[in-house]
Amino acid sequence: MEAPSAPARLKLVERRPAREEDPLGAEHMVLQMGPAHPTMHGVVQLTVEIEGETIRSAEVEIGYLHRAFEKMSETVTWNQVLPYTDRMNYISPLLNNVGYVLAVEKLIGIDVPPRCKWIRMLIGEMSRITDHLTCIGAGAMELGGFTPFLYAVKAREYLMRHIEKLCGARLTTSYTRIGGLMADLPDGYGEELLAILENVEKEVVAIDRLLTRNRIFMDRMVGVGTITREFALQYGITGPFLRSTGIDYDVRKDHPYLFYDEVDFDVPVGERGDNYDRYLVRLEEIRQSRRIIEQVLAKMEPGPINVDDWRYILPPKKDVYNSIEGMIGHFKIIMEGIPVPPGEAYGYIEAANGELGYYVVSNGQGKPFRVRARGPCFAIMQGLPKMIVGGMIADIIPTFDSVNMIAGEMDR
Amino acid sequence: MPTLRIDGQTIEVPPGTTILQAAKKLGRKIPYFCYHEKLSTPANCRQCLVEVAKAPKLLPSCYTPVADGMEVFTASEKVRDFQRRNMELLLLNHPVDCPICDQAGECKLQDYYKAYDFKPSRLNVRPVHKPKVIRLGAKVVLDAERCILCTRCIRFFEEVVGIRPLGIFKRGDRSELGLYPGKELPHGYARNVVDVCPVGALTSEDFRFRKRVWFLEKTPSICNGCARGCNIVVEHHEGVVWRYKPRLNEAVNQVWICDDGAYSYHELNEGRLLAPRVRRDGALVEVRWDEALAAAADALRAADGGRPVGIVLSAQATCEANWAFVRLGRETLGDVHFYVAGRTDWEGDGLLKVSDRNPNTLGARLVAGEGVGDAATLLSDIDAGRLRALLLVGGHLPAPAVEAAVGRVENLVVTSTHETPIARRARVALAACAFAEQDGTFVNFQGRVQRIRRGPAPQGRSGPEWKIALRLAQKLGRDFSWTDASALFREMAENVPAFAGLAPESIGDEGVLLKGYTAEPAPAGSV
Repeated sequence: MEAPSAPARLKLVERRPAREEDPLGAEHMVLQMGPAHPTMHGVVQLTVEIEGETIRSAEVEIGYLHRAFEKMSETVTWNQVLPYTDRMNYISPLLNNVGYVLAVEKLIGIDVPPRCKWIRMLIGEMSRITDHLTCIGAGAMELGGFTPFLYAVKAREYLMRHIEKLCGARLTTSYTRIGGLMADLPDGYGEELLAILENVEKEVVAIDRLLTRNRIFMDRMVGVGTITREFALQYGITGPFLRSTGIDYDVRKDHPYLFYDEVDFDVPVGERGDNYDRYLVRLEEIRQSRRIIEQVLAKMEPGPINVDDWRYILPPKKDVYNSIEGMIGHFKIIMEGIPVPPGEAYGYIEAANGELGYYVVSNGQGKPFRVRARGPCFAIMQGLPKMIVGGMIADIIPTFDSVNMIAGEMDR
Repeated sequence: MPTLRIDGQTIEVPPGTTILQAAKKLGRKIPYFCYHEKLSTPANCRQCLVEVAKAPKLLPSCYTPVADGMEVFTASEKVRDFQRRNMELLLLNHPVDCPICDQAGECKLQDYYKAYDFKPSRLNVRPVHKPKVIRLGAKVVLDAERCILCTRCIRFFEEVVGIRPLGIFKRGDRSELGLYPGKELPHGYARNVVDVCPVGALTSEDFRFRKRVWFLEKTPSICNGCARGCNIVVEHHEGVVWRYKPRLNEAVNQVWICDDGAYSYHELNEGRLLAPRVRRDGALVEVRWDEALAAAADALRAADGGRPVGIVLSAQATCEANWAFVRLGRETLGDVHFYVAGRTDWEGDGLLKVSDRNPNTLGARLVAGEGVGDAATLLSDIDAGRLRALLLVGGHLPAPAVEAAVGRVENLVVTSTHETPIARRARVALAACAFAEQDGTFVNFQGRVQRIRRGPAPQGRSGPEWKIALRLAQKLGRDFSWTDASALFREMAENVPAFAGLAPESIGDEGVLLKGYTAEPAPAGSV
């Protein structure tokens, strides 16, 4: 029987042709996992060369969800880029929104009112919780534990509905604006959120009890997908993946933005850099995010949420329809785009998967000259082949889950 | 020569230069409404005020001449504050008309609000209302509410046309632009006020509500209405031309255009011949180009007693097109008689309109060289039966008698942009694209060669005349190597003495005088 010929990139290492005393021989098999595959989150292709159950080499092919987001950004006005950012990390879109506007506001040099900053922190942490819940839940499900997944998605649902109350959408949020926000928080939003977080905590406790000391879970996760600190730093890995190795780099602490230097929270770190540690880090981050949200709600004061400048913020409709100034302000923003001075800026946040950065370049037009999005899981995926080589096929699943690759963010 | 500093930059200018003109030379932007380079300077809008060191008040830069040692600031805090306040006053009673105003997208109020004001309105009383949609005559519509009383329109008529139909009536914030009793705007040059008005107070009924300006692609070209060759911008979108606007050429038309020329864009969209046709059983039938060209070649080759072929070059077609047919004639058709003909003359005026109603009479004659005939010799040649076939470039002829004679020619091949009567009499009608749809050059009545450029794509299955000549020549057995209009221009530069030493790149946006022609006087009525 002829072995299927492997792509030229894979190195076929050992090969034992069939002999009389070894009639089956041994050949490496090339297995395509993906791009459409039940355990491939999003669309990505993993080509592995296996010997029995062991992976001898692996190749990751990405780009199946490449939608030319960065190129499209060059064809629309600055504010019209916002819906594209929603669709990057589509599990935590509000974080993407925040990252983008921070970059452009840095380039323009405008400072948003305090309430706007608090709200951006609030929605960022809400999004972080939804992202971690999804990751943990899906991870458990793919190892066979369906119940924790349902608990996680139930908790996520409380938050998604609350986000929908804020901006009308769960995924296509486009809530932030350059220079402010789409709208202020609805009345009672904070109190409701605190109640929701209590319910979320109940589910987190349940998940914790089901998984953290679970024999099967631990067997599959502990010591699997281990990376060293050096490996993580070499590959530019950030976020929970990095912190699982013990390095406590968190953009919110090391390069504070918004008001993160005015709230207390801890940064959980792991020890071994394996899948289990990443699970623990994420679980604890949910609780820390809740801590941040409570402080934000306590410190937030009523006030304006947009900069007071009609070159950047759409005038209120009553001014648009009843005064020529409002009309012209609206017209110019929509037709020409906001005035961004020529220059470059890098805006960054700690997203759910790590450092999410936007490098924006302006040539003075109402449309961006270049928007480069640095998605955290792109860096992590580079290292994936090394993480799975030497392990078994079954180990790909928990490792890949804990990468939490969101194809929208990786491929853009 | 006085030397002054503007925003720290030093410049030396001739005496009498205003601060605004000096600032423009340095590239400093100063906003203004009422100032216009070709009109007098009333300094009534006050938007151009700048700070001058040691002067007690801000000074109008459009009006104040520079002085030696002057120190000017165009963007200081005082100036910016004043610019904002001035915009506030101008916008105070301005109607919220942007969604229905033609000027949106090219409106000075909008542009300057964004650049200098960007603050909300402070009006807390009822605004003043004024009459809207007043037809002034000559297809110009006035909206008195939008008017900022800059008086550019009043001054245009007075200083360029020499009449005074418009004036400002009433006083204070009730001031209104209006027609003097019993007057109306005369057709002729009225449409220029629509261009000159910085806001949407004066709009053209011809263009009103038809197209939003941000869709329009702008291509510089030359008007084909008469031999003056006013410089225009062809504004088009998705293959349709929506208007012409004049552009600056000091020597030809300054910044003006006549009404007839401005509205002549309608021709591009009406009555076009869009596909080649061949006569079969008495009727003209649309066919593929290959068949049409073969039929045309047959018609021209028609052998009967060795009579010459006539080629009527077109004063409406580009120099390149005419040159292509000259070469086609000389090199494939043996004995050829050349003529130049075009549209019938109309009445010129002392301003821009020239009586020759064709943009390229001079160009066609120059490329044809010596011995080229005209409509009269064409008529006599046809009547005397001297021609075996006739190739008519361009579907227009200057007189009914000539048209009738040409219509009697049996082997008549016509290239035309429109379905003109003469095109309908042809044995083969080849569809030429309009001037706005191709590259090329025209020579105006003063010997200035100017470029036209392709804006919208050729409509239907039409193509430039020179390309028709190229493919027709192939059918007649001669392969010319022309790839584009520039290649033809380079040939002309080598073969036609008037074009010697010129290259397509050297013509520029304002044209170049041909050899043997001297600088012409500026149009009458200009300042």
